[in-house]
Amino acid sequence: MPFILSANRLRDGAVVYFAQDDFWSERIEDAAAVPEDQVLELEKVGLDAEERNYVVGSYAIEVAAVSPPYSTRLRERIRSHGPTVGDLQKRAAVEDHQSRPMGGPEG
Amino acid sequence: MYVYDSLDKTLLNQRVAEFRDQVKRRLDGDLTEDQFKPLRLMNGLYLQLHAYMLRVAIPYGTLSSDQMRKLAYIAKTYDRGYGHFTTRQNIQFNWIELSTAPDLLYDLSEVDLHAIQTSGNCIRNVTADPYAGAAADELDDPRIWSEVIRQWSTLHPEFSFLPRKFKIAVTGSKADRAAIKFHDIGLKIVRNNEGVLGFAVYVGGGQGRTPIVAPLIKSFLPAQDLLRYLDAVLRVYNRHGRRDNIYKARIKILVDSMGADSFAAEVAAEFDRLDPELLSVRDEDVSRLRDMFAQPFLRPDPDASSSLEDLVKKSPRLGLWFKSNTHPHKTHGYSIVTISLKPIGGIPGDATAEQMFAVADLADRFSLGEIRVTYTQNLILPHVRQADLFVLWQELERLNLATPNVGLASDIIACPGLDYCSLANARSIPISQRISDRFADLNAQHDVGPLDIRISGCINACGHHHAGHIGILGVDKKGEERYQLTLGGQGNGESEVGKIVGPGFDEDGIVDAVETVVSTYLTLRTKGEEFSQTLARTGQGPFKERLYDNR
Amino acid sequence: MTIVNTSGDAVEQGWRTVESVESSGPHHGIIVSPAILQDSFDESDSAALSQVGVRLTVDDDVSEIAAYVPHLGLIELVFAHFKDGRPYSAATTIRRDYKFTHELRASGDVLPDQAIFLIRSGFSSVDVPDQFTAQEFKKSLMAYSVAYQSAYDSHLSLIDELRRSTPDVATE
Ligand code: SF4
Repeated sequence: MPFILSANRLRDGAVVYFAQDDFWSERIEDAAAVPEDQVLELEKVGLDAEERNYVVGSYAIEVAAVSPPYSTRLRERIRSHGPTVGDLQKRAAVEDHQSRPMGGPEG
Repeated sequence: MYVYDSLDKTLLNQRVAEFRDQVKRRLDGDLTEDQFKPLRLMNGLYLQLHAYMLRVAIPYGTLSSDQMRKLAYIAKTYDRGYGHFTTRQNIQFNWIELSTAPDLLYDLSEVDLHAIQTSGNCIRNVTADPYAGAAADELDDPRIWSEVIRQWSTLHPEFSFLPRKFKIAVTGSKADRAAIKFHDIGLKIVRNNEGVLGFAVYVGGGQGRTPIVAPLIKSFLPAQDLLRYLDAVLRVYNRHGRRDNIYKARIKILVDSMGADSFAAEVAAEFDRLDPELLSVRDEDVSRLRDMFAQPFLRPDPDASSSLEDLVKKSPRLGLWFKSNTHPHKTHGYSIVTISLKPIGGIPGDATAEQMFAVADLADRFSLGEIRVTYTQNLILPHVRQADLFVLWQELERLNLATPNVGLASDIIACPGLDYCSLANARSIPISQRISDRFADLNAQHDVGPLDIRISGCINACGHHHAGHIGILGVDKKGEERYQLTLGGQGNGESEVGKIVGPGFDEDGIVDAVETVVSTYLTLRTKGEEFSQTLARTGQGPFKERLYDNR
Repeated sequence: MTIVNTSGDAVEQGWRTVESVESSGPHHGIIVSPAILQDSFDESDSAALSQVGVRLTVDDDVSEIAAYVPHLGLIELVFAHFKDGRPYSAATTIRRDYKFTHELRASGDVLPDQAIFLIRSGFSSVDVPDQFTAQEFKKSLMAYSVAYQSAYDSHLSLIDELRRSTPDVATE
C-alpha cells in the first residue's frame, strides 16, 4: 500500500503533509504518495525538514487510497479533518469517511 | 485572594522573558527539539494532534473575575474562541502557535496567571477543595497552605527534574472534594488533641496504569513543618524513584515497593537532617496569607429560608437546579453555586469566550468577584446570596450554564481523548456526549440520583475513570476503538479504585452498557439507596449478568 | 572544554583527570574515580586530599566515600542526561550533610537553561558541554534576580529574605 508523509509544523504546530520539493501542505489532498519501497526516502525528506527546523515529529502514514489519501486509522482521519466533536461540518466529514467501503473501524 | 507582590511579579516577568528567549532559540535552530521539549513542557506547552496546546494553571482552583476575563480574551485572541477546563483545575487552549505563545504568556502575566509547571517532571499546580473558604465543614482554608506550597515549589532548583510528574492536593474539610488520596501527596488539614493545626499526610496515590489509593504516611505533621516534610519526601523520591521505566517512575511505585512504613522511616530520617529554621513556615507569613484569603464580611440573611421555598415553587426546573447545583454556605442565607459546564450533549469542561466573559460579570455581581474551578470540570460561584439565586439562575439559563445535573448522570468527567490528545487510544468526548444525550431527561437523572461517570481516552487516566462509579477507558484493539467498563470507583469523599466488569465494548455498545448498568441499579435499589450503595451491597454480579448474558 | 563559575564566567580548568595514581607525592589537582580514591589515598591525609578531586556518576553513592569528602579539593557530579535530576539532590546532600565547602562541579549532559538550578543547588562550577558556550550559561544565570526558596548559594536574592527587608513589598 502507498505511503504519505506527515508532521507538525514547528512554528504553529499545524498538521502538514509533504507535497513536493520543499512544499508541505496543510491539506492531505496535496500529500505526495509513494509506493512502499520508497518509504525510506520519504522518511528522509521528513528528517531533513526536522533538521532544518521546519517540522517536528515527521512520520510516514500508510494509506488505503491515494486520491484523496485515506488512512484506515481514525487518529489520522482526526488529524486531517479535525476533532469529531462540536463542529458539525467536520464531524460529518469524518463520519462520511468512516462509512466508506474501504473500511474504517466500522467497515 | 492572594495578591501578587513585586517579587511574585518580578519572577513571573523574568519567566516570560526567559521563555521568549527559549522559543526564539528553538525557532532559530539553536535548540534541538529534544532540548527544547522539556523547557516548553515546564511552561505548559504541549504539541498535540492538531497544534500546540497550552495548559494554564488555576492555582488551587481560584480565579478572580479579571483573571476569567483574561482567559476569555486569550480564547478569543489566540485560540478558536473556547477553552477546556480540565480534570486538574487547569484550563487548556487547544489551538496555540509556538511563535505567539510568549505573547500569550505575557498577556496572562498581567493578571498574575501563568503556565509554570503545568507539565513536565516537576511539582505541578497544587489542587485544593473548590469550596475553600465557603464550606461549613472546613477546619482551615486550604488555599493558605496551597499558596505556601506554590511558592516553595515554583522553579525549585532541586526538584525540577524528578523521575516523573508530581501532584499535590490539599483539603481542609471533612468531605474530601479534592480527591487527595489519588495524588502523589495528599494533605488533609487536621487538629491534634492539643488543638494544634497540622496535616495528615498521604503519599503515593495515583491513577494511570497502576491506580493506588495513597497510604497514610504521617498522621500528624505540625503545620509549621510542612515545607520541611515535603522537602524530605521529594528528596527521597528524587534520589530513589525509578528512572528506567516511565510506567514505574511515579512515587506510588516507590512507596509501594519500599512499603509505606520504611518509606515513612526514610522520610523521617531525612526530615531530621534538615535545618528546621530554613524551611519553617513562619506564623507571620501564615497570618499575612490568612488575611489575603479572608473573605469580606457577608451579612447573614435570617429570612433566607422562607424566600427559598417560594423560589423553588417558581419553576420545577429551578427547583431541580437548586437541588443539584447549589450547596450550603457557611454563612446563613448564602449558597455555593455550581455552574454546570455539562450541557446535555455538550463537551465536558468546554466554555466559550462569551461564556467566560459572562461568568466573570456574574461573579462580580453575585459572588464578590470570585470564581472556582473544580476537577469535575465545572465552575463555582462561592458566595451567592440566596436572595439573588433566582436572578442568577435566569442569567445562567440564558447562557446555557444552568443544566441542573451536578453530581448526576450527565455530569460526566471526560478527558480530551483522541479528538485532541496525541497519546490517546480512543475518543472520550463523543462517548460522553452520547451518554449525556441518552440520559437527557433531567427529571429521570434526579430520580436516578448521584452518579459519577468518568471517561479516559487512554491508560494515563486523565479522565479519572478508576475513580468513577462508572468508569470508561478507551483502548485500541487492532486499530479499533474499544471501551472497557469499570464499576465501583469512588472519587468524591471516599477513595476507591473501580474494577473492570468484563470484556470491552465498541462505541455503540458502551453507551448501551452504561444504560444497562443504570437500569439494573433501578431494579435493584432499595428505598433511598444510591448507586454506589447498591453496587456495594450486591457486588458486580447482577450487573454482569445483565451486561453479558444475552450476548 | 570550558569551566564556568557561579557568575557564569569562564575560569582556568586547574584540574586534570587521571586513570591511575603513580606515587603518593604532591598531586596538584587530579580528578579520580571513587575506586582509585579509596585505593590510593588515606582518608585522614587531608593535605594530599586537598589536591584530589573525585568524579561521581549518578549511580555512585557519596556515602561510600563519606570519610574523604570533607578533605577533597573538588567533587564532580556527572549528569547522565539533563532530565535525570539526581545530581541536584546529591549536591544538596554533599553541601548540607557532609559540609563540603570546596569546588562542586557539574559535568556531562547539562543545558544552559539549567544553570540557575545548578548554582542554587550548591554547584560552584559547570563543565560546559561542547555544543554550548560559557556566554549561554552566563545569560541564563542572569535570567532571574529572585527566587522563592532559600538555596545553598545565596548570592541570588532569596525572596523570603527580600520580603522581610524590602518595605514596599510588605505593604504592597
Ligand atoms: S487520558 Fe490519555 S487520551 Fe485522555 S487526555 Fe490523558 S493522555 Fe490524553
